[in-house]
Amino acid sequence: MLSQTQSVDARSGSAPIAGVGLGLRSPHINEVLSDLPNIPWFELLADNHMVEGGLIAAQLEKISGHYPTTFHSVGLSLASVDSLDLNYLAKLKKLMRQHGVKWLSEHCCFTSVAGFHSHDLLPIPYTEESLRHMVQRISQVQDFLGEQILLENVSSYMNFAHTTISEVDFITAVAEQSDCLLLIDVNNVYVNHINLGTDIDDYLAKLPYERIKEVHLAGFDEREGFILDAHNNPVEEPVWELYKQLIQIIPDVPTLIEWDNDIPSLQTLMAEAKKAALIQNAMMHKVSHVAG
Amino acid sequence: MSLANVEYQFLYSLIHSGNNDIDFMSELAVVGSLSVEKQLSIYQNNINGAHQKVLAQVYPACLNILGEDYFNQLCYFYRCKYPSTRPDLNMYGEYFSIFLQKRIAIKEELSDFEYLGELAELEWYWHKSYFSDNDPLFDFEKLARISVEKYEKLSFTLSYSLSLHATEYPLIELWNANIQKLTDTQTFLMPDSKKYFCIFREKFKPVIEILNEKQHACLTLISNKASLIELNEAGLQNELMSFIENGRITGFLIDN
Repeated sequence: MLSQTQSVDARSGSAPIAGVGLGLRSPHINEVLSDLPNIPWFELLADNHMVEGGLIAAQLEKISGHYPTTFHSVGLSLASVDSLDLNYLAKLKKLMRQHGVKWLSEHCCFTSVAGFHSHDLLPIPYTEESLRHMVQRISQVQDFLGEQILLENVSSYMNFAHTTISEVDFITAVAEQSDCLLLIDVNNVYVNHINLGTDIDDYLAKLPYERIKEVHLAGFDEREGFILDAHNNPVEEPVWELYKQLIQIIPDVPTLIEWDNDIPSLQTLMAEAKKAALIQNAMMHKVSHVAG
Repeated sequence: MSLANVEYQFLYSLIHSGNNDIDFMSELAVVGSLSVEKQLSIYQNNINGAHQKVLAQVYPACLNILGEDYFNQLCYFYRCKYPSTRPDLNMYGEYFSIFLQKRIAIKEELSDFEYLGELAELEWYWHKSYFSDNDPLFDFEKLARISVEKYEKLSFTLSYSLSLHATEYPLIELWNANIQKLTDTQTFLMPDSKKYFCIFREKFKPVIEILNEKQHACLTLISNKASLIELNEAGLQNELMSFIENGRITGFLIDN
């Protein structure tokens, strides 16, 4: 098992994904490439890097040369009833192969339908029909890529009256039937608990931990009558508490700090990552002591 | 309601904010303090905000001229009229110039801004060139091997990032002043004659290059696939050579 320090020492594009990484956004790319800070790995928004020329392509080449990287996508529209966009998928595959990207994660939602793109993560009702559809789509994507993808639970502000399956049962069933892996966004679990009344204890009890390959942490924004998964704040205390519960069970699963709006300095992000790493390391020691 | 109908009606309600689909609304249930209208409005606001942000990044000069409130209103109408059809959000806003031109024709408050459509076009191509593919290197050796009898079928290709422009407005001056967000009132004189320029990417950075009439004619003919013979007949040999040397022309084709 790699600690955060070990993975930093082994920093190169070919090192494994371990410890606490950062979602790398454009305001920090130049700083990262000039200073090469000690960050174990980066997750890139695939959609922002799907160009084959210019500065963005050159930056991806350099980042993936220095750091282990993963792709986080928002444009696959996994739950959409439209045909899968094979051009988009082919571009993703090409970039992943070209730059040694370790894995691709996508969201349990749709972003487009009837050829129109919302560029937002739109939830679906959790029903048997949706389940069959998601399983079929993820299987198609995995067949195309030749590897498993990670499915992320999304934050939601919509309460579908005819939902028949709980969120945790839905993503578990999708993962098991399509044989995909999971990315659990702890902030999203908390946001849905506050906004939609999701039962957190039930959620944590039912998660298929053996399929969780990545954990996300982010901040939310307090709004009138709800909380928004805005990725514009530090991780809030109740989310840290939830993270501790989760990471107690899967201490060696890589964690990522996401911050997409009102982006602060890289040092602030690294401080958040350090906080998560301390929790992760403490849980690893706890587990090894118990095992010993 | 089927998954397909949920998705169609959900997205319809987002694109046409204010026209919430009644059937779709009946699929939702109140939860906590979130009414069904509130649930939908959260997504409508998210999407409005995201699209406004992108258009503001692509069209900073138009934003500066129109002011944030009016620009944001236009963004909303633009999104209703031209919803995004590509997964890549960086390519959203392609038709903003056409949208503005149509708007200028019918909205009195925009009658003093007849240049805005062309300014938006400049901003779009500037933005687009940043994301264009890298050009191939011009293959001089391969060109040298082409026999003279094939010259009438030989045409040239421009840099992927290059776009050609002609204007009767002081467009570049207007753009420069507004991307710098200059607050002082400035006067821009209308040029005496048509002005020509091209936008292309020099390594990583988009640039604007002023062209004379002959240079513009040369690049226009090339973009229309004129043959080497036609370019020679138009007396554009010098321009052709110079555009090959400076990388505006990046390749050639033999039309079979």
